[in-house]
Amino acid sequence: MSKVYIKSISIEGFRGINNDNNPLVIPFKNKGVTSIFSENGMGKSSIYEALSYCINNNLPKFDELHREIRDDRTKKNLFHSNKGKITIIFIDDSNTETKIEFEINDKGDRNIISSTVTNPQLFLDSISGDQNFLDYNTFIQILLKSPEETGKLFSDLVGFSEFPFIKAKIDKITRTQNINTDFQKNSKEREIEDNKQKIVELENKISNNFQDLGTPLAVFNLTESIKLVKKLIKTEFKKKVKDINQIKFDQLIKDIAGDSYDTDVENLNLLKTENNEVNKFQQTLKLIKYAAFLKFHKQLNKAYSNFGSIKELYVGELLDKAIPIYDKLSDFDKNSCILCNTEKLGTDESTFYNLLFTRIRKYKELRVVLNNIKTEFNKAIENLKLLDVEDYIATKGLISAEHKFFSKAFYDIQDLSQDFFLKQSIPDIIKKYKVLLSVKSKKNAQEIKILSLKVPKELPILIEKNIKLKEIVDAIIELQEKQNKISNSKTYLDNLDEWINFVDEIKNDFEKAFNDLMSDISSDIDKQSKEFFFLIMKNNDIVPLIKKDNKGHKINFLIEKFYTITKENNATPLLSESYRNALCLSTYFASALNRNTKSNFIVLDDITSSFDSGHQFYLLELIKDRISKISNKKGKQIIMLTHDGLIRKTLNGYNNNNKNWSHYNLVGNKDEIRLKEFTSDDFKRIISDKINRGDNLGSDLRSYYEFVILDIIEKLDIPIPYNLILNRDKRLIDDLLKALNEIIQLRKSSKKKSIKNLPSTTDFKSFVQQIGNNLSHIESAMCSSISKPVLISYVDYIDSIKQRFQYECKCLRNQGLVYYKSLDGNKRDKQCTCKI
Amino acid sequence: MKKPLNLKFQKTKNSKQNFEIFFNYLKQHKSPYSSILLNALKQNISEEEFREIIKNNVLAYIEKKSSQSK
Repeated sequence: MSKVYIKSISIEGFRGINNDNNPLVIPFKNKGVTSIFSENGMGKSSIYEALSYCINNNLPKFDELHREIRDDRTKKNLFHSNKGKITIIFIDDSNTETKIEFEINDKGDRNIISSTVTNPQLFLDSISGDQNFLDYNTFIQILLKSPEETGKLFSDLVGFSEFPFIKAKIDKITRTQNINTDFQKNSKEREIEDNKQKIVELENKISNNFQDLGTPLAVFNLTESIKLVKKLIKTEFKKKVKDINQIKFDQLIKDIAGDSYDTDVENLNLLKTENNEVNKFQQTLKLIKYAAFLKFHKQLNKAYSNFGSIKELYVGELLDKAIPIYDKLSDFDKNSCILCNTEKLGTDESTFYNLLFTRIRKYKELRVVLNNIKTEFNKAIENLKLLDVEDYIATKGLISAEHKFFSKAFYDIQDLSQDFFLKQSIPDIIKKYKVLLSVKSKKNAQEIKILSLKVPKELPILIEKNIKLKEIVDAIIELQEKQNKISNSKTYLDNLDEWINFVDEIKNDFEKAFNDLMSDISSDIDKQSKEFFFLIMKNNDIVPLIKKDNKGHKINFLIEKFYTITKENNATPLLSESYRNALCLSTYFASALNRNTKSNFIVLDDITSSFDSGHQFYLLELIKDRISKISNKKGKQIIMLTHDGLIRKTLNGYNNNNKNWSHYNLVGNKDEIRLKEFTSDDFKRIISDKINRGDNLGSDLRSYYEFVILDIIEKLDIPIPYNLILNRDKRLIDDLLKALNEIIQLRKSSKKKSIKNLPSTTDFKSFVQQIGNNLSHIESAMCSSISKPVLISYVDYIDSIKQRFQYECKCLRNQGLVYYKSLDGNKRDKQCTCKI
Repeated sequence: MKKPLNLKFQKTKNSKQNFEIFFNYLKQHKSPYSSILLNALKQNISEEEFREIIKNNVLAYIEKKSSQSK
């Protein structure tokens, strides 16, 4: 598989890089290391983000922001007038280049606008991966994760990030709960049990019906039941049955009793019921005694005999209503008629009102008698249920509703008139009713006779048997359906079990294979990271151990040796921050080297700042000699971004001494950022600006001092090894000056041709004394007590040391102070004609 | 007796090559279920979408198989 590297990137209008129409172009060493230094705010992280956004389509530092404070529009540079544009050129092992141009719109979206490959996104997908990018925030997290998360992280780091997804997917479909939900396994099993229960009920019903039919089954048997049904139909209905599903039970009866048998049976039953009713009423009428009603007649006649005529009765009724009026009148007026106003109607013995009152008393007596008769009469009607008799006769149309005599007497007649009983002739009515009921009874009897002839006597028994047999057949059919359902459910569950067993086997095999793979890889990573850890920390007393659990994918960071302790302890709580970081980086690098992906680059942002200068150097040496392709064929292309001033010089040194290491410095402002070799003059300008602004210098002055001395050593190719600085951070300047002094004094004593102005031992002592302890004061923020001119004089003094190793070039080729080529005092540029 | 199939990933191979090993192993099962699983695994979909596809395809296959056996 041909590996892919990043050849170059061109950026304008993205994040902190404006460069309107003049993009920042960075060539990368595809077979080595490209390091880029910038001070804060000079676009270092923008380069990291541009690579990540274009290749992975994500901006880790940006995406982590809370949505309320994130503003996607700031992905594009806010000072850039046009759309942002990023172009990346990739190159593979066979030197085939792939160029992809991206555009960043005002919303911050990244779109591919052109490419030399047909499907650029497919190409990017094949090389993308978070594991290719490492920044400080990410790598310090490596040791803070749980063993489970670390296991997942390892899969990512070694390029198997998709495997845990596959595992999760297979887990998802093999989870019992999901199988039950997706495939209704439980409900199918319940359905089988329910159907089994229902079958038992149906078997009982069939057995009971056979029992009722007088043909009990010894033991329930479906085949025997079907045979018996067929047999019974043959014997009872004289029909041969092939398939019980085809039996038409209604037809069996019709064949015996005719097509209208059901109507006939129904009518016959109706008539029989009706006749029962008629008989009941006939019996009722028989109970009526005429004398009871004649008594009412006599009582009525007697009550009316006190009145001369019917008119008198009406007058009484009228006067009854006049009494309350007379009660309100004077005695005089009580002798007058209130209707015609005729006066003096009274007699000597009685007033007209008293006469009227006597008359009314008689009327009232009549009313009492009439009410008594009415109450007794109604009671008799009720007792004899004559209203029911009348209702029945009327319902059957034998009389009209309005001729219901007893009903009328019971509800409608408020006052019984003198001739009520005479006119209605109760005995006649009762007789009439008897006749009507008798006629109805005879008619019904005749119809019953006809229908009874039509419907044979044994038919009801046959119908009963027919019903029982039909119930048996329905039960058999339902039972067969239930059996089929059980059979189908069992087949379904068998097939489902086949699937479950299959996918369980796949799951187990996949997990085992993945587990074995990760065990192998983690063992390799453990070995390599141990080695890398030692190369960074140079301490044999602390030995890490990366241990994978035998089962599952958990990976533990342990310490197998901690000075005299050889018991395995968790690494995270035991290690100091720098040791933790060294272990994180060792693990990351070991993983990266074990990663067999198409992409063969790693982009590192600010990975050195937590180490002191000695360990930074070891780390850089590790990257150069083991991780990068400079010395390791299986190594990676490294793109390293840093703002760490301490390693800047070392990086410059690598740049000069190794053709596969490029180092750039970023300089510029909000409008434009450029790559530039960082000179001591640049450093001096920065320091001077800080002093003028009154900023805290921190270690800047020391760094500048180191930079100048290392610049002299490097530019004049003075053979002082870099490892001189190891583990003696604060003593670096002293050590360098001592080494420089020794070499210069040796040079002088050798009497070889030398630079005229070389410093003497006294000079070196003076250098130390002049700056000396002041550096510590400045670094401990006590510089506020040192005035700006004094600080500037320190800077100028450091600058003067440098000038001892320079000459002034006035020709057009260089102009200004330039370093000699070496301590022998030869000019750097052979073609320079300046006299020195 | 059916010989169990062996699945072994190789650390010298990348994830794509190891996936091929896994997919070949699945194919060797020569089961209709293996093609259902294989097709679903090859799709770039979420876990839930994967589950849904598996459910639908397995149910369809079981129903088809049941109707054939009647």
